[in-house]
Amino acid sequence: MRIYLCLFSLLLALGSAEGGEDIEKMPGYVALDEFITIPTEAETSIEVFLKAPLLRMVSAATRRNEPELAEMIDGISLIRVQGFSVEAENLVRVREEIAGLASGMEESGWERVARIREGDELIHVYLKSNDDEVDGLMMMGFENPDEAVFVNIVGDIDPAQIGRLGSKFNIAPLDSLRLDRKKASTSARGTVLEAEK
Amino acid sequence: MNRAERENDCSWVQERIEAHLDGELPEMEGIGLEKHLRECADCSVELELAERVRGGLRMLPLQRCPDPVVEGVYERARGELRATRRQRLHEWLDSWRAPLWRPVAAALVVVLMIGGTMTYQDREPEVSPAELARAEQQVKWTLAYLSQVGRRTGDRVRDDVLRDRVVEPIQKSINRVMEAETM
Repeated sequence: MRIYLCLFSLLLALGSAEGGEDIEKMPGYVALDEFITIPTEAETSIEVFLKAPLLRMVSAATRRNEPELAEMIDGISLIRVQGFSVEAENLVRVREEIAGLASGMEESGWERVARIREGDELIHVYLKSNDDEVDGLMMMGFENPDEAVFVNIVGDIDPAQIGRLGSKFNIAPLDSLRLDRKKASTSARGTVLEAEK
Repeated sequence: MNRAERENDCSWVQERIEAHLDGELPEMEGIGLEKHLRECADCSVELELAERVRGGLRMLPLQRCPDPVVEGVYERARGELRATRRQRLHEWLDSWRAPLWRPVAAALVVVLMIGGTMTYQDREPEVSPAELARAEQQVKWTLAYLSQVGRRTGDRVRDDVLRDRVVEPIQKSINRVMEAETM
């Protein structure tokens, strides 16, 4: 009987290993869906969900021409970006949910490293670190009063490297990323584009 | 007993005479036996006797075996065959009931599972070049966006700290001093 139990346990373990690393159990992962309710009528303005297997392939593809980028991607297990429109009647609720998420993250050991609050703009940037190693980064808030944006990067990343690398990239051709092009000129991407000019 | 000794041993030869006549002796034993027979008169007589007996038996008319005897022999043979098959089946089942099969089967399943899992994990997702290029764009977009947020944060800090809390207060102080001196 014991051997059947051992075998069953082993099968369970292998079954869970089969799906690769369990991203939701990693310390840098933020269970966004548990805190933020995307309104049913909301338009998704941007959605990126890149897991480790695809990131490893991107890393391999960029290693020759952009070795620093490839090295950085090697340490990342997940990149998730979620942006959606928020109608006026939902604004207060979404802001409260963001505040609740921020509070929960601080209780879980996340550290707020930046905050922008000006007019309708509200951005929080959090880091989760363990000793000298970063486990994850979370950026969330409103780029405009009608668009909420969340970015979660899980893995060992260097924020300074993000700034250095990110400033190199010309993101103008990335219109295809945005699902709602009408809002692009006043949205997160639009802000970046203005900065690149 | 080596080859030379046995070829000189009459009893070794006489035990094999019948087999020799039936052509059932291995080649080397047959050669040694014939060599002995050429040199040994006693054994040659034995061979001659054996050949005569074989010839005499072959001269006898064939006798038909009574049907009940034949049927009895066949029935017994069939029974033994069934028994043998049952015995083999039981032996095979018993071998699987033995404690050894469990660890062997478990090990086999584990090896198959690990092999399958490793194969699965080593397998890269099937991604088209277009999907890969899009993923690369998404990575760069995300990094660019975060970089931009970081720069804006730095700009705000400089504005808040330097302009609002350092430059402007100093400017006001200087203005107040200048106004006082003018008066």
